[in-house]
Amino acid sequence: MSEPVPRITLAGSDGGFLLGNELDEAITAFAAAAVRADAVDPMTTELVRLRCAQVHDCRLCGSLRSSDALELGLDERMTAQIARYETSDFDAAAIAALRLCDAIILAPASADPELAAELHRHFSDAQIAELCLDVMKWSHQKMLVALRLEAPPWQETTVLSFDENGDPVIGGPVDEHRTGR
Amino acid sequence: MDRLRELHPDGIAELERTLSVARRSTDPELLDLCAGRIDAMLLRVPFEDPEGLAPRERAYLEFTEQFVTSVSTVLDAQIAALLEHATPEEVYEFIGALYVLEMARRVEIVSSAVIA
Repeated sequence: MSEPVPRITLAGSDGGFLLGNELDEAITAFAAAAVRADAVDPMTTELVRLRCAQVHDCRLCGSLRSSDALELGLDERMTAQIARYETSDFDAAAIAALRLCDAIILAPASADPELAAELHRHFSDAQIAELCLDVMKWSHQKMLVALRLEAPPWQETTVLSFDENGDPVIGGPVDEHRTGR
Repeated sequence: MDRLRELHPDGIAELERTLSVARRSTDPELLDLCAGRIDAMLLRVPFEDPEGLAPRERAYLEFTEQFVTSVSTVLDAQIAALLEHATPEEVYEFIGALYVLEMARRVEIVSSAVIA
C-alpha cells in the first residue's frame, strides 16, 4: 500500500508539522504541561503513547521511542505486544493503563466502576489524572493524521526525550542509542 | 474537570486556555454544531441532522463523525469537501479546534467515571 500524502498545503507553514498559529501554541503549552508531570513511570507512559500512535495510525509517533523507556528496557518485542496487550506479558498496571487509554480514545461511555477499581489497584488519583492528560496530549496527532501531515522526516526509529520545560527533543536512531554510539 | 484541576492544576490550566483559544479560532456556530455531534456520539445518544443544513455544515458534520469514529480512515474526499468551503488554513484551524474539544470531552467523561 502506498504511503498517505498530505491532504492540504499550508501557506504559512515553516515546513514543520504545525502552522504555528495561536491555537498551535496553546496546544504546545498544554502538551508541555502534560509531559512535565512525572508521577507515572516512564515505561507505562511510553506504552500508552505508543498505543495512541497505533490506534490513530500516526507515523511520526510510531517512529519514536522514549529515551527513558529505552533505559528501562523497552524493546521492539514489547512494542509489538501493545496492539494485543490483553494477551501480552505486560504487568497488570500496564494493562490497566492501556485499558484506560482505550476507554478514552475508543469508547468513553464504557468507562465504569470496574475500570475505576482496576486503576486504583495500581495508580493513585494523581497518576490516573496524569494518564488521562497524557492520552489527550498523545492524541494531538489526530489533527495531523486527518490531514496526513504526520510523516516523519527520518527513516529510522528515533529517540524521543523532553527537556525540562516539557518540549520534545528528537535524538538519533534508536539502534545507535542502544549500542551507545 | 474540578477533580482533575485539583490533581493536575498545571495541565488543566493549560487545557482550559487551549479550549478558550480553540473556541475563538474558528467559526463558533459551526464548532457548536459539531461539538453537539461529538457529545451525542461519545455518550451514545441517538442523533440526527437538524433540518435545513447547508452543504458546508453537512460536510463539516460528516467529517466530525469520521474524526470521532476513526481518524485513521478519513478519506481524501472528506477533506476535499471541507476545502470546498474554506481555505487550507481555515480547515487546519477547524480540525485543531475539533481535536481540542473532542479529546477534552473524552477525558472529561472517562475521568469523571474513574476518579472519585
